[in-house]
Amino acid sequence: MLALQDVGVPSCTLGEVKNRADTIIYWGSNPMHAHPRHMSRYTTFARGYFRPKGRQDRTIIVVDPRKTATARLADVYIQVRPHEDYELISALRAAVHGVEIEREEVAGVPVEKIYEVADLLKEASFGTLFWAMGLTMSRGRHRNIDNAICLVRDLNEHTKWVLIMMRGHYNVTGFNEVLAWTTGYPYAVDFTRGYPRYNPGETSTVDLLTRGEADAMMVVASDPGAHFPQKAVERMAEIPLVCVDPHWTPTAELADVYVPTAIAGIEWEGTAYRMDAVPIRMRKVVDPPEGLLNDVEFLEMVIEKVEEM
Amino acid sequence: MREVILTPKERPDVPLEAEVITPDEFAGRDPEEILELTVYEGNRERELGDFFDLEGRPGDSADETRIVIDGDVDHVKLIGHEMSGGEIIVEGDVGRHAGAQMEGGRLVVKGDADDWVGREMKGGEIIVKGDAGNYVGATYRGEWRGMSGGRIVVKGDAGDEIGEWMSDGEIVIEGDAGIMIGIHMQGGQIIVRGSCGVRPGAEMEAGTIVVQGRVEDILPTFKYQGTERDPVDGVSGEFHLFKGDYSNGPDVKGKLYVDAALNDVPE
Amino acid sequence: MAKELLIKNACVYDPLNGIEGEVMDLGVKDGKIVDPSEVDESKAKVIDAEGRLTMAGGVDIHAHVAGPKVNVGRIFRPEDSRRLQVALKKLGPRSGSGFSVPSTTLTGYMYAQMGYTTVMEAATPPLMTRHTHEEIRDTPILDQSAYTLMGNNWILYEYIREGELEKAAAFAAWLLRATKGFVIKMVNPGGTEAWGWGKNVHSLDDEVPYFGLTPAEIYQNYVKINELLGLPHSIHIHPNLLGEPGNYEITLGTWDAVRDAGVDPDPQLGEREQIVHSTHVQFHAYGGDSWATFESRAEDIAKYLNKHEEVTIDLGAVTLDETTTMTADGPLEWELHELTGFKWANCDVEVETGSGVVPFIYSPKNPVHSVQWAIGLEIALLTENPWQVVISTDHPNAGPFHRYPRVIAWLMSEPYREEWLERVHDWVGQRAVLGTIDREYTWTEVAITTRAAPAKMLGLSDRIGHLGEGAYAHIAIYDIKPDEVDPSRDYAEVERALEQAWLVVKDGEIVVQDGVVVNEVTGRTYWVDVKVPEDILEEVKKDLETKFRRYYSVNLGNYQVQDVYLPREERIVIDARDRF
Repeated sequence: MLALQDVGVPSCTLGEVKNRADTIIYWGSNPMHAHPRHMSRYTTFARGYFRPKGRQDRTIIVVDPRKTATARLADVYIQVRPHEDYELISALRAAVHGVEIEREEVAGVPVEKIYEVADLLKEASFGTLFWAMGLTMSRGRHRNIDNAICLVRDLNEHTKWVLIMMRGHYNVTGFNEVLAWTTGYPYAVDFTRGYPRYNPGETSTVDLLTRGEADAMMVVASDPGAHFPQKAVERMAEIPLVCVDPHWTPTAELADVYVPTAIAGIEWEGTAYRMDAVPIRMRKVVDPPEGLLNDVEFLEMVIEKVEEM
Repeated sequence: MREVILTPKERPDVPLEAEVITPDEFAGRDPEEILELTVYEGNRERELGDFFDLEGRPGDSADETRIVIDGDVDHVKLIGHEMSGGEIIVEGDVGRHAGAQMEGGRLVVKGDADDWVGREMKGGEIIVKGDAGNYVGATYRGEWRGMSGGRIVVKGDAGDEIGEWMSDGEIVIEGDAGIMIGIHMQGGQIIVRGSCGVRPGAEMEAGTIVVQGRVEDILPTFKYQGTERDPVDGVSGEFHLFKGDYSNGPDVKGKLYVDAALNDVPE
Repeated sequence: MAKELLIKNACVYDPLNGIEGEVMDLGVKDGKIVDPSEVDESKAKVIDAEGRLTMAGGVDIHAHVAGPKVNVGRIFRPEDSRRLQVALKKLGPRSGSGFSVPSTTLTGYMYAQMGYTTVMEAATPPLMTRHTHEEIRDTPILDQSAYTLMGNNWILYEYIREGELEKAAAFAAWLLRATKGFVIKMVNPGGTEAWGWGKNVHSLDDEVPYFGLTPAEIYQNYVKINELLGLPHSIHIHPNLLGEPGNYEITLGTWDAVRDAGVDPDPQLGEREQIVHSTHVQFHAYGGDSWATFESRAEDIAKYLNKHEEVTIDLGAVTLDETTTMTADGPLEWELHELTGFKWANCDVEVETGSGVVPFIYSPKNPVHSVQWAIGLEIALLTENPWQVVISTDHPNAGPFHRYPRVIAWLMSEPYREEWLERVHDWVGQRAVLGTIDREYTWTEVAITTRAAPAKMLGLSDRIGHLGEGAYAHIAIYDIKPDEVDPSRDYAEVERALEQAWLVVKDGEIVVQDGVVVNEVTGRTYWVDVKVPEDILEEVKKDLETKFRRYYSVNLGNYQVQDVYLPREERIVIDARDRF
């Protein structure tokens, strides 16, 4: 998010990749494990309008410090030294611009190979970069994405390139979308002054918790108890905590109040946004256990009570 | 110049937002009026007087007003926000966004300053005698128009991404600085008298960065130009000069000077 | 809340009913306008307008206010949201943010504040239209509709290439139903598809890569489809080469090509006279062959319009603000990024369309921006018949919608324009004619170009855009008295009054009082449900099963927007079965 706010985001829907992409990069992402149906449905193996032969019509490039299952499928595998993704992206960008790189190797990759890959990217008729947590967890964090976006943007001076983030958590895109249209900001929104404000690093949950700036917390359909840094979790344990979730989670374990809810998309209907921001109608398949509310019903009741107060 | 002395009293559990602590807001007001200025304690509107005692009187204009904060205000954000003149002296530590969008005057912090000191600064001077956090002289999220004037001096160390998107003005760090200083820099000057982390000048288009200590790693997209002596005012000795960041293409004008004795030219 | 309203002493401008500044009473009952004598004064809420300016609720025929690319604008421009942060209970009950791309709540509030009650979302990518309807649902007060992007649709292209016009029309009807859309919208036909390969089309005869069709052929087939279906609105087009110096030629060529299709306006609902609505025409009225030789061609555009009433336009007037550009014209946004260096967002949508978003700073010091500013106003002032013109800023592309009051004040006041002519770059004196025009819009012309004409062009003038009996009770009363104010001299007063309506009634309910939203009613969503011959539709559905499997990343069964997304739909049923 911070990266695309700095430099933009050239993207597309997954069907575009299926129909057009002849060159695909997976950077710090291992869909063979993380998104098992992704490659056969939308990318590598899928047959598309302009790619009738599927896998044969596409060149797959994988960049990863480890030779993952996805890397073993690749036409080109680039082993980047851990935490030097940024350096490699910078070098690729320079190579795309035709600038000489005055080094023998960058991030463990010989410079000749960087030029070869740059040429491959420029020769694509439609290229797509997929990236995932592997890139954001590497040193420099969102700046790696910033630089990767710039690489894709620069490539558009030569041919067509787009990028898509491989987002794992269910419907996190939907959360960003809804919050953006209702408040103007995609996450980390602060309402203390009566109007929405935004400054991740300051108004984001982890920062509010670790700096001791929040004195109560309600968690809906998320499990920070399992994923947040130790210091943030310690603060969660200190303050009043409400957990609203279909599942009993580490967050529920810490909570003063736990409210079980129906599972959206199985026991209740709704909308979920795919990683490429395509909204999908989620249908109700089975009835929830008797007496179980869905989270909308629960939150509406909470609002009603708050308004009475 | 007339002086107002604010002495912190009650310390709230959550940080205060007090962008009213500026010579501009104080100037021409009675002490009672100043104490009634609105500050925000979390989601509650409070008065400045709930948290500070006041002595002295402000001048008739910002330029004629000095504010002395006699204690630690590391829990108070936005002190000196958009100030256009006069002086603020903080005897202890100061919270986030001190001197943000400052246009003129002087802000002196005798202790440490938290993140975003001098964010989007346009003019004036900020001196931090202790350490500063991340994003010294940086910009707001999504905003590509960063610090455009003025001067920030940090006597101690500073954190990451200082001078992000800056286009003019000067930042001097007397101690060490973190990673990716001058990221997306468009102009202006950053001097680090100590050492800094990886990737100084990442994605910079123009401007000057001088590191008088050691640089952890220089990006492969900076090109070596040879050595130069005494590259900018107030900096003496022999320096390696690099140009970059060539990831942005062949027409970049950014200059990165690193001490020649302490740094090798990478191959 | 009283079900009946009696508004006394309103100074009414209602061009569709031939009323020009008559001080009269208005009756409201059950959400509709009635004869004042039908209102029971003892039960009704009685309001004395004391001679204030009164018009029907405003109608915006073209704005980008809801949907995926609008939200990209919000997501990637926190620095724009920061410029306008409105606390709860300030403009209305809830809070919001965003200067050029306001949040949905703020969008509803700020339009209502200006007395606008109908705002059409100008472009929705079919595949993502659920999102558009979700935002429309979350936008308070306003009646809205989504214009379905069809100008680069492969399935339409394939039917047209195969000469299957009736199947193409049946598919267009299916797509309008699937997306709950209201209009066949065309954006840079062929060009956005070419952008799938990083390319564009550069003339009306340029072939779209791999599809064997030219923009001229695409326009001609689409206008035939539109009139075969008898849609309330005409095709709504954003021509090729938006923003390029010299593009006025392709604009005029496009209108000729559409007219050459040889069809007459044939709506099943409404009384529109146009076969094509050409949007944000300011961006398409440029002379010269480079930025160095850039000049206004507003005169050529207006001259054409003055001869051809079958073409209507909205302005896309530049307001000289920092704003956000957003369009389904993918290649254009890339060009803007290359021109400005500002951050660039892009989203190509499989089979259908694309889009891009780039911030933009229009500066009065910039020669080109200054001329652009002049062009928008020139077109409004040089086109003789106001019924062909709608005031718009192509929000937020040429400026945010909340600048409409200023645009109107410019059009009503030569002295106000003079004041700005002093401020802008002197290219305006050399390369535009604005300084030589002395026409000033009257209140009647304002009422036409902001309500009556767009309502008529949309085919909805039976229910909106006027204050006759039976119309929806959408009423805007402004704190200005036409008999006391000379808009030419008191332009500041005009601008202020139009920014904050004194009273706004929506569906018979008071929603704005003294410029503040007091009541958030739910707006309706218009869409057209076109019945086409069953046998043709069945064939199309069979084709779609194969095409969806081959082209799309979603199943046909998951594609159509469910009714639940439109809590207050206004379905306009068109029976086109006998027209095939």
